[in-house]
Amino acid sequence: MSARTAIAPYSNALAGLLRLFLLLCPLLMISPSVSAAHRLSLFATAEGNSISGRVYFTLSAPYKGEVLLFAQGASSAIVKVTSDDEGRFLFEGVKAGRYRVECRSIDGHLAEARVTVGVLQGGDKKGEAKLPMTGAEKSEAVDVNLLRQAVATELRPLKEQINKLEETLWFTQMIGGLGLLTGMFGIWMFFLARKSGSKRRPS
Amino acid sequence: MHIVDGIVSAPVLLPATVAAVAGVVYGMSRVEAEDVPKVALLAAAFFIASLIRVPIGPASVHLMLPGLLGLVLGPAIFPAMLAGLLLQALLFGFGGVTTLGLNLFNMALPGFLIFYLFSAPLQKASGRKFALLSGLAGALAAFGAGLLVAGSLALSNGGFLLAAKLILLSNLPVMVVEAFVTIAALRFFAKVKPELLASFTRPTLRATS
Repeated sequence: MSARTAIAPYSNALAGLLRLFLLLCPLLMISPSVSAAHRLSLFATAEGNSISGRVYFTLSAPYKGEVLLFAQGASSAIVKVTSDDEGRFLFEGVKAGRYRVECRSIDGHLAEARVTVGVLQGGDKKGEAKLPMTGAEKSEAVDVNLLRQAVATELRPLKEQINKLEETLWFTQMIGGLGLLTGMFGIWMFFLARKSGSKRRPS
Repeated sequence: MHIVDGIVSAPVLLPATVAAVAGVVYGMSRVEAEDVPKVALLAAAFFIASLIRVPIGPASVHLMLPGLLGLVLGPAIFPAMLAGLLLQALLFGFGGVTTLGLNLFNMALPGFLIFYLFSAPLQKASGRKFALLSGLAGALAAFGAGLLVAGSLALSNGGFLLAAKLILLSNLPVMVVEAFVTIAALRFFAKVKPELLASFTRPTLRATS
């Protein structure tokens, strides 16, 4: 049997299925704006003494539920709030320090973010000496505080934009996934065809 | 419907993973080279359909097509869904790598059982009866998958009991949609490519060849 004859039934089946797939495409390719994937994401930033952010399923479908605030290293939450219809949440009156914001959806999906509130002045590292500050140094520290806040405010839209860009990757990955599937099954088919070919071949 | 890493206990995870591996080995052993395009096509349909999530209350649901895949692929539903679930876990972080076997077991087993229950009656049915049986198969398979997911969570941790109830509840509209999608797809296949159903509505592919 020639190679072309051996491949013919497979290529006919494949052509038929490709036609089916193209017909099914409208059913499968529902607009990403109304559909969303199944992973929970959390975005949080500190401004002054408050921490705000948003919790959502991939592709921006908001998640309404409990959001917890933990001090770094602590296992019990300091406070919990409920995100609104747009998935936004706000913790107010938070003391300076490092925190973990956590949200677990009712079906077990977990998302978290780490946030620093306020400026941790010199001597932050373990064992590092904390020297008393002169008047000039104090005013400089205040400036650093203001600078941090200003930078945080400026960075916030940028971070949100990065998050949105990550979401656009979803579509690319989906197409990539289909390509990978084709490759995986192609390799499987190749080996199966070789196996059945060697069985048919006369010894 | 995808269970994430670290929330399910080992006594639930391990038997389900072993059963899923057995299902994949059995499924792969029943596939001939000319069947691979069908398996690939339905794996792609499952991969895309289960990425599309609809938020219902505090949970999010998606189509799984276990009835459709089960009826068309039979035992090959296991390798087809494995490929889809593996890529979803690696590319999108849905479910997890350690829960891959459990998720496969939960979604593929109902489809596989539906294949044994419904393939023979569907072969003989036509018209309204065909549509009714297709819809019932689609809805029952989705219900079975929801039940297994809810059961996995409830058996692992009593704290997930509420989540399990909510998953079952939010699965009801999914059952309806699954029923209609299964009817539409099977009627379409029966009309334009009847051999697509016939080739898999045999107990095993090799047993009759």
